[in-house]
Amino acid sequence: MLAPRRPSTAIMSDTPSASLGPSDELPGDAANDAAGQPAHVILLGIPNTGKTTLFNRLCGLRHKTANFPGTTLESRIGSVKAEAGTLRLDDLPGVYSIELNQHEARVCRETLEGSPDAVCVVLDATSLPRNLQLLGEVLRRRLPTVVAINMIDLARRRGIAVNTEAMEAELGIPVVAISARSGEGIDRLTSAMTNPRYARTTMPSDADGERAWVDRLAQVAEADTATLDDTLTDRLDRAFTHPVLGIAVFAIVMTGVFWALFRLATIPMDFIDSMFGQFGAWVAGVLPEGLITSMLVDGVIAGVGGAAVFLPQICLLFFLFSLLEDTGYLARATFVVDRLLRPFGLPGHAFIPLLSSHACALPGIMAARAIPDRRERIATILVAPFMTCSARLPVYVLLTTLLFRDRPALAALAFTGCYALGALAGVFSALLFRRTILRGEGRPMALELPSYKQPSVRDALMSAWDRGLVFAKNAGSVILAISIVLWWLAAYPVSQPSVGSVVLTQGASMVAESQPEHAEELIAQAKALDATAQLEHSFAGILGHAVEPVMSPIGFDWRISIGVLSSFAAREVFVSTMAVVFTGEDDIEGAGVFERIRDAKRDDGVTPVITRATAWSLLVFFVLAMQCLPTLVLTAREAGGWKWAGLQFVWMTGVAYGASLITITICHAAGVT
Amino acid sequence: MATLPETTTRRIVPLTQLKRGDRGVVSEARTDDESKALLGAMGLRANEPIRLCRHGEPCIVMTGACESCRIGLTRRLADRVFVEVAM
Repeated sequence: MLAPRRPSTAIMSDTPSASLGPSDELPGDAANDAAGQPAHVILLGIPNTGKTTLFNRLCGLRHKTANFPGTTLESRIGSVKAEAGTLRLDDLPGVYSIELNQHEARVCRETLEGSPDAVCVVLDATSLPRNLQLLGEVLRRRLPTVVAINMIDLARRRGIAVNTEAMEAELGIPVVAISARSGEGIDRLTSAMTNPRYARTTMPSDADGERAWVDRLAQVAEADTATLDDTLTDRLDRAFTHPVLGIAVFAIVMTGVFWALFRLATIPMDFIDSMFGQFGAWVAGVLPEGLITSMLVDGVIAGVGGAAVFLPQICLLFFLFSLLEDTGYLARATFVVDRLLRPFGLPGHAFIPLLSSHACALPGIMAARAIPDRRERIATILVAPFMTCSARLPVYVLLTTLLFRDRPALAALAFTGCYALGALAGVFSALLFRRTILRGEGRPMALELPSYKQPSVRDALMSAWDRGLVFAKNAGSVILAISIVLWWLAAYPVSQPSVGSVVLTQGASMVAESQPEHAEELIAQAKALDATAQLEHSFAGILGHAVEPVMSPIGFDWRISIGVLSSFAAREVFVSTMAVVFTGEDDIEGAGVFERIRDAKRDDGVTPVITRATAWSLLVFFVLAMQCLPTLVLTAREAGGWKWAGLQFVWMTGVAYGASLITITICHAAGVT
Repeated sequence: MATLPETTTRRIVPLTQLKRGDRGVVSEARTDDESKALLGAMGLRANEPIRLCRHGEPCIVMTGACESCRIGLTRRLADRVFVEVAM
């Protein structure tokens, strides 16, 4: 481990031209400590300097994502292979200054106060002067430092030269010109990280002294002379932020994102669903029938599969977002959306969380960390689950098919209506929260608009990988636990075979030899009857009967109530639960299953269980209800307490119930049955 | 550090009163301390030269002597950033 030796304070001076004497050189061979621990290097820089690209270039997949201790701020910790050994690299959030009264700046200060072995400050070669303030603040902390001047290739193309040798001579620390995108200079940087030095000059503390220090260093670097001709950027900015054209461009881009999400991601999602289904069937075939096998197949495998099926959409969504962000367009789009969301008390930053929530609310809520204002952030988190997520889609498909069996155009319109209803409920709920419990003026927005450039596919892939892993870690375990609990509620108490199934089984045994196919059909019918009876008399069924008085005003009988109750833990189980309740089979696409759900009758034997009015009521309920336990858990964590998760649950469930009641009342008044 | 020549008649106006292409020097940001510190760290600090690229919502300015940074601000914030311009 690098052993920093701090210079004597007696020779330190705060004047710009002061020198600390010969800069202290650290033992260059001791990159790893005696116990074999990697040297600890911090990566720091202002936003848009390519720090993420550099981290990805240095560490590749050798990294993990975690939270800074005691915070919800994410950090990435990777390992870098250097000639002298392995370095641990911590990627700090991009900050314009570590002295700001901002959460990210506080985290950076605390990390630097932990005395890392080295700090690598990443500067942008195309706009060096504005990066030097942060460098000065780091040098003021007397830490072994290396400077990486990134995007040197872009600077060269723009005719900007940076005199790294002069900077190195002035500061007394390694200064390496690199291009994280192309890999230029990376080896030299890695080597420099194992030989960091203390600077011979530090930035003064007063404002004038700071300015003079920055200006002098900019002169030394010869970075104060080139001026860009940015006519094209000006024109693009005016187009992308135009009140009409900007919204049109945004709509086109988002339509493209949604199209990719729901067309391209469907292929791997179907593959994963099929793979887990086949694996479950194989396990059921090789293991003896019984509760252990049932738990493995219907609890564990179904649970893991239920979480895994969302991964393609989440990964693809963040891949596309990363590409868009890298082009520089997203920063402009934030202002376009700010105009649309501001009347509802939400900032432009909220559009990424809300858009992400259309795939899954979990990454959407995590993306809300980027919103600087606490009240705006909490409001966004509270309303994110109103956005129609992928788990709702199978329910929408079932209900719109029941409503518009042979009229696909109307079914598509109803589908679109569901999306719109969820989004409207979300923004109006945000408005209500921002006028009441989260009242207060939002923070006015200032955003750096990075240069337009070709996006990095490599960085986008890394982003997709990171997000997928975070989702699997955060949601996977919760969804698996929920699946096992739901399985238990439906499997216990174990009920005896029904009279009907006993008769069918006896009949099957009588014709087993003469009519084996018919015998198989009888056994299948017997199993279906047993499955239905098991569910009815299980704890889930008991709960369904118990809540029926509350649910019947909105058209739900005990069978639908079982499905709705189970879907409060995870929405996606509703369809398979309905299939089991009505048919004894859990595959909605099985032969005749949909028809049997449609034709099922209530206890009076005449009234359909799912009338058209009930279907409308169910559809509205699922659009608006809070039915995702992993989301509630994450809300509690990200918003800062279970009171927010409780509010989210109560508000959304109340809105869903009220809207369903209004819907079924209107349907009955209009004669829709 | 940039300033306008002493002989030039100057006035101090909010960013929202500039037109596209107008140049000036940042005078001050009349906003809360936190926002002022952030704007300063981003490059909108006193005596920093700017050029207005887009008027309205958002207001887009280039900052720095070599116009190295492009910042977008909502109109509400741009109304509170005052610049010195030649008349």
